[in-house]
Amino acid sequence: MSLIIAQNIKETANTNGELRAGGTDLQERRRSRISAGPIIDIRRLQGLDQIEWQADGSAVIGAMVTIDAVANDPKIQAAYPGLAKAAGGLATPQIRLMGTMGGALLQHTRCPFYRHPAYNCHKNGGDECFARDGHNPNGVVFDLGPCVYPHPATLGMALLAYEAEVDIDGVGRRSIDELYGDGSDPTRDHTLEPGQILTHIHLLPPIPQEKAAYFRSISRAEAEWPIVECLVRLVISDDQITFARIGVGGVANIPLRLENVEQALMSQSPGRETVEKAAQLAAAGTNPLPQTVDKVRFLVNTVWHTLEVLSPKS
Amino acid sequence: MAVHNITFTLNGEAEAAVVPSHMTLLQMLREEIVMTGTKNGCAAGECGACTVLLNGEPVNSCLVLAVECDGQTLVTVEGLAHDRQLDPLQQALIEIGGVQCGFCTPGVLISARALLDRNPHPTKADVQAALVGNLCRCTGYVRIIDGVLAAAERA
Ligand SMILES: Cc1cc2nc3c(=O)[nH]c(=O)nc-3n(C[C@H](O)[C@H](O)[C@H](O)COP(=O)(O)OP(=O)(O)OC[C@H]3O[C@@H](n4cnc5c(N)ncnc54)[C@H](O)[C@@H]3O)c2cc1C
Ligand code: FES
Ligand code: FES
Repeated sequence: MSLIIAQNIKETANTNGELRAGGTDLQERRRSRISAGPIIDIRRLQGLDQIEWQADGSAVIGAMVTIDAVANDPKIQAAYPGLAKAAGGLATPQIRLMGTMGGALLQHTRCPFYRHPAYNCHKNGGDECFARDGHNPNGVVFDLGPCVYPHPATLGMALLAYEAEVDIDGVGRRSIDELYGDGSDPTRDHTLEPGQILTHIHLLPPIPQEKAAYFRSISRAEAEWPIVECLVRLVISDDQITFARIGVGGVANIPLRLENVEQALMSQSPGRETVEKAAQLAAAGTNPLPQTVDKVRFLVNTVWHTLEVLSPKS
Repeated sequence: MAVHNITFTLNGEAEAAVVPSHMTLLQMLREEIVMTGTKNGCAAGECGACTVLLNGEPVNSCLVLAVECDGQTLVTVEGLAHDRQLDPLQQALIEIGGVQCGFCTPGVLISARALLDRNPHPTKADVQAALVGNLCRCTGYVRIIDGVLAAAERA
């Protein structure tokens, strides 16, 4: 194997190889030889490991900032509470300490067929999704394209709910929507081309009265990918919901925002009835696989529970 | 095959090694340096048996490349006892029965040491949170958590 330790971004962009940031996703694929080409270690690149604050109060997070640093930064916790909670809730302490924000967004699918050397699916040169007909109770409930394994990026989902943007060296600014595409291309987990480097994540100025909750339905207490996860951001003013953003993960091959649920919450009083009615709408448009029919209920209940955390009990 | 000369501090001693690019820190510890306290459970970042301290932070050595440790400071389970005195965590885990087959124990001890170094008086919830990346198939965790809390109290 050839390993290049990158010293500057320009040199990296012109080198053929898969980037290695924290290595926590890539190394598992090296072991199974799903990733077998040259590697470019980007841990020494300068200027990508800081959280910077702009005059308008917004944060710019470098791609090499660790997940742990985002989860535990008091200013991020105050300004973007949902992002901090999602970062602190994923994986394990060890992974959060090594894993970077860039890697968290650009990690490859955890589909066991993709990660098994005996299967060539759409994502490694084949023309089939083995999860579609194979054993796949973790599959999607929004079937958006040929690949039916959920996108793994908790922080993609969180940053979608925060309407963040990313800088890609030599390309410019892209929304999180654009970063992931519409799910129709089964050959990729994101829209970056090989060699392109994600350098920074730009957040909008924080909303001072924002309340946020993050909840994951999971088959054990922690340290595993969730069945369904949800991030809710609400602003409640004079007993009315004046702002709502809802991200969900584990349900489609890209992170999703539930705009229909957001709209149903707007201008409503945040009581039990509003929350229950709005959460039911999470099921709208689902087209589950035979093995994921039950997951629709998980989706509705996960959204419902996350909303309940924020709504005053009535 | 590209090889790299690296130097690092391991359990307080200066060390050097010649490592191929693809070698993980776990492979270097177990196969090159033949220090086998650190265990290989899954080699995928899921079980925590391979946890070591890299510059004081607990990491999965199965996911770190050896070459990335050039110039860094490492502590493995072999580095916890000093002058034939066990670390209070080791002593407490023995006394309270936090060890059965022992396979998870090196990783648990390292994660727990990182916790106590950062937070000498953790709550039970703090201990649970610090150990979620260390799977144990034997003990059911109760005695491990009791052991860490006892070690913190004694310190
Ligand atoms: C037990 C366990 C549970 C987990 N649970 C979750 C979970 O619930 N939610 C979740 O989201 N994740 C989860 N993870 C995955 C974890 O979050 C990722 O492994 C981690 O975020 C990857 O970051 P990294 O820096 O190590 O990436 P790397 O492994 O270094 O890279 C991942 C990919 O991104 C590319 N890349 C990295 N940085 C850049 C950049 N700046 N520009 C361009 N390309 C780049 C690399 O080329 C590579 O293809 C879990 C992992 C484990 C082991
Ligand atoms: S061997 Fe490294 S986490 Fe399991
Ligand atoms: S004591 Fe056997 S795995 Fe923990």
